[in-house]
Amino acid sequence: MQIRAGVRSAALIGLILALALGGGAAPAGAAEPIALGMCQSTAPGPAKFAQAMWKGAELVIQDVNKKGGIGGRPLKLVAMDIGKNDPALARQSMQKAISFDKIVSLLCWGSNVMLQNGPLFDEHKVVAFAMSLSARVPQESKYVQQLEVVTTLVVRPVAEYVKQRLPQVKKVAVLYVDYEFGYEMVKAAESEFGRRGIAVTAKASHPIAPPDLRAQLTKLMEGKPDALYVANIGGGELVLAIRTARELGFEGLIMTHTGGDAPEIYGMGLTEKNFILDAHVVLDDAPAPLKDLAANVHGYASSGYDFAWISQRVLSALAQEGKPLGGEAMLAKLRSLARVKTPATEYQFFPDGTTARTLGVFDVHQGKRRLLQTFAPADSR
Amino acid sequence: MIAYFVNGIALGFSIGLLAFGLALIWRTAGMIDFSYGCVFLASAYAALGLHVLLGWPLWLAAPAAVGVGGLTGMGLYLGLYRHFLRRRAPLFVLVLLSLAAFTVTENGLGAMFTAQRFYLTHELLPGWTVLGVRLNAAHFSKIAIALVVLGALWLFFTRTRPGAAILAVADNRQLAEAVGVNVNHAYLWVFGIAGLIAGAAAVTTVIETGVDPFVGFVPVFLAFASIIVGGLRDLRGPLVGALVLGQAFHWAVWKIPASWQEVVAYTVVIGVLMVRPEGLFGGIQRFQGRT
Repeated sequence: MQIRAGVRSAALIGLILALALGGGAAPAGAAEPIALGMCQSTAPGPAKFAQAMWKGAELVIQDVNKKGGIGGRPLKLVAMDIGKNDPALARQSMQKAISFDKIVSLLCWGSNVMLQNGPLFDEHKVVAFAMSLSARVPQESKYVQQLEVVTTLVVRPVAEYVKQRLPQVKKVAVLYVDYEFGYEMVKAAESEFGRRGIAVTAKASHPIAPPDLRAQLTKLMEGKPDALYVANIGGGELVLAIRTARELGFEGLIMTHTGGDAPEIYGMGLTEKNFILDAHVVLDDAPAPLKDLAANVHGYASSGYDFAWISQRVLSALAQEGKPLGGEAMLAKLRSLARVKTPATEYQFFPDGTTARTLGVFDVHQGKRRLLQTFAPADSR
Repeated sequence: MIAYFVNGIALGFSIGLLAFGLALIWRTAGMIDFSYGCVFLASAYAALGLHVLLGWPLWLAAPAAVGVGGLTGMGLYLGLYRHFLRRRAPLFVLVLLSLAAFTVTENGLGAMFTAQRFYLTHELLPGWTVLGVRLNAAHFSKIAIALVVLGALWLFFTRTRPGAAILAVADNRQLAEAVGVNVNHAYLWVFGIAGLIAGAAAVTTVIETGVDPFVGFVPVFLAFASIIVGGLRDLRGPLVGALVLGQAFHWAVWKIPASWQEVVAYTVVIGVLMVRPEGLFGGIQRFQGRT
């Protein structure tokens, strides 16, 4: 009786395993999809822009698949859970996506996530498009290609705009997240503002997900800065920072980076005055669904769109040339292109993994972002 | 300098309000209840849903969300803890259970609603200036509610039968049972009242910070720290502990980089405990060891 029960259990387990492993297999005769990976985060700041990027990428994938895919193969998007920008969890998710879904490229972010998983991308030759990370990352991994201008250079357009258009700003205070991203942003602020004759007079860090920013902002206000640069992660604490700064009586300019490109920031009455940010420019003739996503979900929707668009464009070119549709060929093709113009914006991809793209400085007007000045790829590098 | 002091007081009351509820549960049920964070989150998301999704005015959504906190507290007791408390489960089992419940809630909310932060309002809250520092309506609400709760709980415990029953159970559960006190009812009251307090703390907190699945972690953790600092002998302990912590957090950034804020604040906690391991007002029992 026990042996029979054991055999039955083994058979049941075998059946379950077979269904689990075989469940994802395409039906006989169906073309194998080409998989693109995208990180998804449970950290409050990145969660929002991760979702926006996913939706942006889906627009491209749906469009490409409607037209028959690439060489008859549909595209599919694979989610990779990185938790709260946890490198170890990211590794597990990426390994699974590489091994089971056979992703050829991916989009992710976070200095620690990308640095610690660089060897994985190189080993498996997966093109890793990267958002928002330290300048070190492309240096450490051959297969990383920035999609967003290096974090530090995101400060440049705002600093240049302030120098040109707001000469009354002489002193800047920086509120930054206590994380590698924040440390790099402080250095960038000191460098970019400093070389334009604007002094960074105070800086204060906050933990990720702070309960309160009054201590930090009180300290920053002591120096009576003309402007405050907020370098938080993904815009998550930005609403709290803006509201607290104004509550404490700060009336000067508040500046931030691309992470603040979100409807809840534009919807704040407090940002209609003395607030600017740099953000990704979405061209006027970009597809309407993308413009809608960028305006109503998060500006980073355009980056997800661009990732998928660039991937499929490179893969299509390789398919036409009869070359293998893998990461190694993708990377070589991408870096051989001088400029890439997507429906949303324009890029220059350099062999060292760095990238230049169009950025804009925006303010807020009647609940929407308003472009003040554009910075071309050359200006942003 | 005045600003650090005033802001520290505001933060202290914010932590202290939550600490009252935790202290109530700890004192009566003898358990460290991390799932208090579940109650905090339930009220937070209820406030968000009622005010933002359903469009209820804040003056209606806020008390309703506080009520959700009370119901959630009672629900947690009835659905989860009663079974273990009846069987006098060891403390570590109760702690693990509460941690697991909190983790499930945080991640469950993240899976259902994503980890995005949502806001009840994007505007400046009305406020008033105290000693040259502007505090907003949420700060004043927390201070007012904390003082009202302190007084109300004192009256409740000293002037009402359920209150007396709770004190009896807290002092000696077996004896209380022996003289006919309904322990189950006493615990239900405790978790319900603590839930209402958590709800009030949650609503007044998230109106400023916004709501996401992990917004409860830091306040609950700080509330525990304030109980350890202040002691459990009576409700003054958690409040004083919270005020000490609030000052520590703010003065920590006065002359040194803000990245040391938590280091300094928790060093103060360690310092207080080294001098008074039972808490400033006593009541944290020493470890008895195994016999």
